[in-house]
Amino acid sequence: MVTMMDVRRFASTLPRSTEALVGGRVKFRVGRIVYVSFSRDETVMGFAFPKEERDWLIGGTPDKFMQPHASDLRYNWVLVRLAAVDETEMRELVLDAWRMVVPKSVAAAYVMRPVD
Amino acid sequence: MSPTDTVDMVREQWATEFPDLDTRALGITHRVTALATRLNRDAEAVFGQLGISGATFDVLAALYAAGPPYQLSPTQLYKGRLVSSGGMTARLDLAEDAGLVARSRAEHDRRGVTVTLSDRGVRVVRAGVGAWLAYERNLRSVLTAHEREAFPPLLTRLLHSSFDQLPADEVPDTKSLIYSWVRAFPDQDPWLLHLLGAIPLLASRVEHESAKVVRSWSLTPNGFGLLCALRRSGPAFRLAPSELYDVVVLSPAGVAGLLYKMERAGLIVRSNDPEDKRLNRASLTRRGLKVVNSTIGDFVMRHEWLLKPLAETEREALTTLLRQLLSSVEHRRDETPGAH
Repeated sequence: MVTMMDVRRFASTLPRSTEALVGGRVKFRVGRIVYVSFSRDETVMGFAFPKEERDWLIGGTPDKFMQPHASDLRYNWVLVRLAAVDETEMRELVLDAWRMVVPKSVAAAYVMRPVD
Repeated sequence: MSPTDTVDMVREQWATEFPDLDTRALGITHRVTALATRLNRDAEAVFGQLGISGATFDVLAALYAAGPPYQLSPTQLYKGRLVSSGGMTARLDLAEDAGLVARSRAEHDRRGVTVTLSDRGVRVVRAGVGAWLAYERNLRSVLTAHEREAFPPLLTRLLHSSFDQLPADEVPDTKSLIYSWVRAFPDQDPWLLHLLGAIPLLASRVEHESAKVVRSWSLTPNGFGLLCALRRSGPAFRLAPSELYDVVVLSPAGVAGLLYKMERAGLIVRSNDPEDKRLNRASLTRRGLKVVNSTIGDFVMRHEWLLKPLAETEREALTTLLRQLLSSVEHRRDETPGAH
């Protein structure tokens, strides 16, 4: 399991990422676009994720991932229970979410090391 | 009795579905790529603890391996490192912002730029290598002293075997790449450095050839690997996404992205698990089935070709050693690298 502190430590290394407190909830943004946010009790993390891939993600591990609230369904967004992910997976989710909201040229520096 | 790993399972399944298919090459090639992916994931997490990505570490390590004054041109940095020059520029921007490298105009050539590792960069790269090798040190104890001794020359043979098929100007100088690391970090275990340096190079070579085989279907090696897993599961060619995570060595999010692409390409369809409606299952379409059936033969032949210069005894020894390493790495997945 990971906590918001683990996410914060990782997100702070990502270029252009800033932290904000909006309505008592911690959010990480690039400019004005939010790519990670937490529930008030900090047990659930929302993150940017392509909405067309969402059903495959949730239908693969429904105990870990959840649909966003009805008002957020039209966005590229998914929820995850922090108790169900480890550090490695959290990093992958946060990194991919960040990558969706920064310019390609910035994201290029942060690709995982080439295997293909 | 040696331990079993995912690749043993994969080969058993192929043997059931296609009894005439000779998949022995996968015993080496598939293990190399699976090992590389898992080691790479671990490395990302270890470097992440130091606030850098694996991509940044690669840049720092290359500069460090050049020796004092730790300077290279951007061209020297990206050549043979499987990164585009644009990707390298972005990496350098990031490393420079973090104060790990500095760029300056070369004295003798006003157009040329030199990249120099900063003092902080030197500290970070040393700490990174130390943490990474400490995390992977158990790989040593997976093998007996005798096996450990036999392994590096076999890896070198495998590197030569797989790279010698390339045109000369495309062959990276793998030997000097690995030995520059071993020289640069004299206080670190050379055996482990050799292993951790060689596996990603070999994996990129295997993936490169796999990509050529599956390109005609507009597939990536990962996408083809996913279709193969469905094909191997036997009629109805249907699996739950969670059954694919380990086989294609991707996170749930990575597999979801891949499944979506395959679905759009008409190669798979989604259905619900009748027992638990919340769960999805993926099944091969007729077209997906055709893609695998018509390509798998070429795919394993291409891998066989990469190993052609190796003697039978060398192949057997490599298969055994790689199986031990992969099975060990697969079984430790519950620990989180770099956790404190």
